[in-house]
Formats: sequence, C-alpha cells, structure tokens
Amino acid sequence: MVPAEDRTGLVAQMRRGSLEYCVLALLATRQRYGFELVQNLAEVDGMVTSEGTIYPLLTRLRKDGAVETFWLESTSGPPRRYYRITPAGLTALEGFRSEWKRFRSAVDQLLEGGT
Amino acid sequence: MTAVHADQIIAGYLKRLESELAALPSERRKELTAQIEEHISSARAELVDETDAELLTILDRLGEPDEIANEARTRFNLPTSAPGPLEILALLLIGVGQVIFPFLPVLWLIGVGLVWRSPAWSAAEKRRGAYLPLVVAIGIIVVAALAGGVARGHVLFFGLFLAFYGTGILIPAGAAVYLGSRLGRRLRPLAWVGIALVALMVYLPAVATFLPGRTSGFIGADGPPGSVAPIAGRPGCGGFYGTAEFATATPLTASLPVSVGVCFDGNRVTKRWGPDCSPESSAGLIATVQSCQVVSEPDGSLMISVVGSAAALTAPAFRHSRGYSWRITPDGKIMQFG
Repeated sequence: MVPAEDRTGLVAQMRRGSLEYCVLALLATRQRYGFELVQNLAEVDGMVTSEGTIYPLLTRLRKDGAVETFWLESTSGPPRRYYRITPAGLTALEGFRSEWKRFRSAVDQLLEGGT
Repeated sequence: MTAVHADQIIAGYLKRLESELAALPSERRKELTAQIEEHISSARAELVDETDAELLTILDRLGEPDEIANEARTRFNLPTSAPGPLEILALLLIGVGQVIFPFLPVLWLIGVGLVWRSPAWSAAEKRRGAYLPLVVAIGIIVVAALAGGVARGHVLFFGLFLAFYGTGILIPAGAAVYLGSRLGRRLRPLAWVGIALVALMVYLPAVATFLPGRTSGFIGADGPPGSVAPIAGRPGCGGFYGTAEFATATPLTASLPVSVGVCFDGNRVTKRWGPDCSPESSAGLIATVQSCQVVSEPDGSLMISVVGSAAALTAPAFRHSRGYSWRITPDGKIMQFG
C-alpha cells in the first residue's frame, strides 16, 4: 500500500499537472488580472496552497503562447496586467478537456463499481 | 502600522524573492517579481484598514520566496535538485584548480567532468559554464603557444604570454563564478563560506606575490655583544644588515635578509665576510634567493645585490622575481635601489 505521505505527493502531482488547464479554463470565460485570477483559483478548495506559485505558471504559459498579457486602467490604483487566452491556449484547453473527461470516467468507473 | 514599515516588509520580501530567482533568465525574473509586486499592491488596495497582521497574511498566502522560486525552476525546466559535495568540489576544481596546478588543465577537466555528471545544473548552464569556457580557453592556449614559438624574443611574445596565463586562470575562475551563481541559494550558506575560504587561501598568496615590497638596511655592530658600530669616515669594522621584503605589511610577507661584514679603511669600503643570504618564507609565500653578491666599485664604495623571488605556496605559477641592491659609500652612507 502507498504510504500517506506518498499520497500527499500524488495529490500535489495531480494538482500540478492540471493547474495550468484550470488557469486556461478560467481565462477562457473572461480575461482576468493576476490577483483576481489567483483569488478565483484559491476559492476552489485544494487547488492552490501558495498563491505565489501561480505566477511562474502564468509566465510559462505566456512564454508558450497559451496566454497573452495587456494593461488596462483600473478604477482603483495603478493599471493592471490582464491575462487573456490565445487561440493556441484554447486548443490546448479543448484537448485537455476531452482527455480529462475520458480519464475521469475511466477512473470513476473502476473506483466506484469495478468490472 | 506605518506605511513606511509596511513598505519595508514588502521590499524585504521582494528582495528575497529576487535573489531566490537568480537562476532564471533576467527577463523572466523581472516579469515574475513584477507580477508578485502587482499582486501585493492589488491585495493591499482591497484592505479597508491595513494592519500588520493583514499584510503578513497577504505574504503568507503568497508563500515563501524559495517556494515560488522552486516552482519557477520546475516550470522552466531548470534543475531543482539540491547541490551537495559533488557540486562544491566541481566549483573548487574549476575555480582554483588552474591556480594550484597551472601546467595542464587536469583539475579543471575533472571539475568539468563532475559538472557533466551533476543533476544540479541545466544542460544550457553546463554548456555556458563548463564546456564552452574549456573549449575557448584551450583554443586560445593552443593558438598562443603556437604563435609564441614564432614570436619568441619579440615584444609580441609578452602579450601572448599574458594571454596564455590570463585565459588559463581568468576563464575558469569566471566559469566557476557563473556556475556558482546558478546554484545560488540552493547551496547552504555554510558551503558558500567554505568555498570562499578555500578560494581566498588559494588566491591571496597568488596576489601577494605582486604586492609592493620594501627594503631596509643599516650598518651595525659586528662582534661580541657590546661591540660598537663603526663610525662613518673613520677606520673600523661592522656588519651591514639589509632586508628585502615581498608583500610588505601582510601576513603573507616573505623576506630576503642579507648580511655582510664591512670595514672602512678611511677611503674605501671593504668586505670582511659574507654575503650571507638566507630567505625567510611565510605561511603563504616561499622566498628563494637567485643571486647574492658583493662588488667593490672603483670609487671605493661597496655594492651589495640580491635577486630573489617569492612564489605563492598554493599557486606555483605565481612567482615574482625582484632585484634589490644597496650601495655603501666610504663616508658610511647607504643608498637603496630596487
């Protein structure tokens, strides 16, 4: 049996792998600025442990061309750096969405009833 | 809490973050730090009444700078493994190997081999910090050695000689600094202290060979205790005691003492015994005497010359020769040269 601490590592691995698509999914609904995006992710229990770790991911996504940034004036305070999904990001997100659905139902099927 | 205090806390956090991100390309590092900075100001803008606790909560939720830096390294496919003794040894072999053993780049090659085996540097870092410097330096050394054969005796030879030693020592030292900077905070402070100490112990004696020297000399009594020094211009005998120093006023100083028995006979200075030259080495410098002689001049004065060199114990290639001489005139004056 897998020890408990290894299961924690497994959860971290699963979170790490899916986090970028969660970010893309949030940006697919509408453009958001960094703090807003992080807050939206943090509202979902178990998705983000340290908010700061989202930013390396955003930098990476921008470098890969999945998101792009632009500046917008804000009603309170200085202009904000907004993130917007690109067509390449949308394609990647759609690819993951269908893979995820297949994977999830396969695991669910085995976990919940067995065959 | 005062605004100044809050700004200090945030500036401290951002500074730590920036140094933790040292391994990232500077453009990414700036982008990341700017994003985190914006995050903090957005979060602060939403606070109604900013308290110390609330500000700390914002930073706490962001996470420790090393946590963010680790995530950044992972996202950018940079190695995250913690460096250990192997990496420390590699840095030392590359950084100081050429100074300790400058004849063939053996230690340097072993260091590069260790870097090649290490998981702590990325492929690009290994290319820039280990393979490329080695290839460039060997290229320069080969060209300089070949051209040096042609240019021997020419003024160009000296330039090539400098290129030879310069690249053989400066390039690996620079490469080691680069590789070390890529490890950054992943290496524990104690390890950095150790590396710095070893580097100092190797480089300081090497530098000391070039530090200014000093000479001194006097005529004193020569004989049983209580005997008096000769008085200038009058017949009498005594001893000349001179010292030539390397790296004066440093703990690494080495010296070349010389002593000669001298007699004044009224119109000339003559030698009675000596010269005795016995080099005094120190913990860092080895002093050697190349020549030690006394010559009588036609005008009746005595010329005492010593040529010696000091070599760094840790860096045999760093040897610096100097000549010193003293001229004793018949009226008892001492002039120093060198």
